[in-house]
Amino acid sequence: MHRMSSDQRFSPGDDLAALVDGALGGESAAWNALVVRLERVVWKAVNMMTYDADIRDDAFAATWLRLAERLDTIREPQKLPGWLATTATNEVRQLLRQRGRLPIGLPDSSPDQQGGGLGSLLDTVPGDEGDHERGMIAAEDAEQVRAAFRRLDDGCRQVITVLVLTDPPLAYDQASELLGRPIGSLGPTRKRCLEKIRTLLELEGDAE
Amino acid sequence: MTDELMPDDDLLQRISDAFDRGLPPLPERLSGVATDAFQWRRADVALAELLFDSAHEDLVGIRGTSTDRRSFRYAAGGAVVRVHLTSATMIVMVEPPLSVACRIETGADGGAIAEYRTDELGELALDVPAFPLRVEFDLPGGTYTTPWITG
Repeated sequence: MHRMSSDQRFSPGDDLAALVDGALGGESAAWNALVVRLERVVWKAVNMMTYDADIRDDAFAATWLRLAERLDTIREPQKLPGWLATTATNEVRQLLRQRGRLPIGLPDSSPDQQGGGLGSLLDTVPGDEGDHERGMIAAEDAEQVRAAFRRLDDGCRQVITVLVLTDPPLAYDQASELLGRPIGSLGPTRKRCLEKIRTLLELEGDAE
Repeated sequence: MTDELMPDDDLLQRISDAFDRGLPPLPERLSGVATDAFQWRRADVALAELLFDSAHEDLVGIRGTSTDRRSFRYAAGGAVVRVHLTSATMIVMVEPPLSVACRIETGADGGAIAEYRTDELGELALDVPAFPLRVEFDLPGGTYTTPWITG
């Protein structure tokens, strides 16, 4: 019963600073609420970085171990989503190299063969024919974007993944520290990576 | 110029949407792993400071290379701890040479802790445990643990 009342003191919608404080104080309920609140950020980050299921899952787990390990170093709890996203992308890059895997893994162009992979998740086909067509177009566009993203080097994928998932944005100095990149390189890298994927998308569009 | 890494591009939203659309459901098992990570938190033990990780050198080097060895060096109080890993062996060295108690914790399969002692040369060699793992030392300056080594 005591555990129940303790659990009720924290919920995923609470202020991140309160949840971090609670976890630092040893409250597992605060940690559990943090996980519920932010697990999707980590999951999306690892999925953007790789389709290798083993590495994706191990990087996801490693990211939470890192947070538990370094919780007392989180200076701005509001920026925890960015911290987690960056840590997750670092873990994926690390594991890809350590295990000698291809940076991206399997393509997702054959949804039926991919089990739980990204490519298997074309949206549920709606009943209406117009909806169906719009759904198909949106699904094709999404696949095209993912295909272009796959062709980026993992450094670019990391920077874009972090940009996509950091809300609120990380300060340049924090991003620099977490990504291990010089602060002056972040702006130009971001620009170069976005230009690259834009070009890839244009090329794919022209090819159709 | 802003001092934040701003996600202000429509293209970023398009990329984000594309991955939202294709995101597999998070397996319940992994949610459990994230929750369980908290039990490994050791607020009473100091975290050794990473001084060197051979994998970081690899990241700067050739893209896509793999390594079957990995080396770490940590500062822990007044001591330096080195950890060398191969596919089969783990070697731990404490400098200056000290015979100290150390515990190797592995987070795999629900977790396990094994106790060892470095020899008078400050060395310990053993079969490499399952990842993720970390090494905790009882040094003269206090108890320290390495950060998690994940692979």
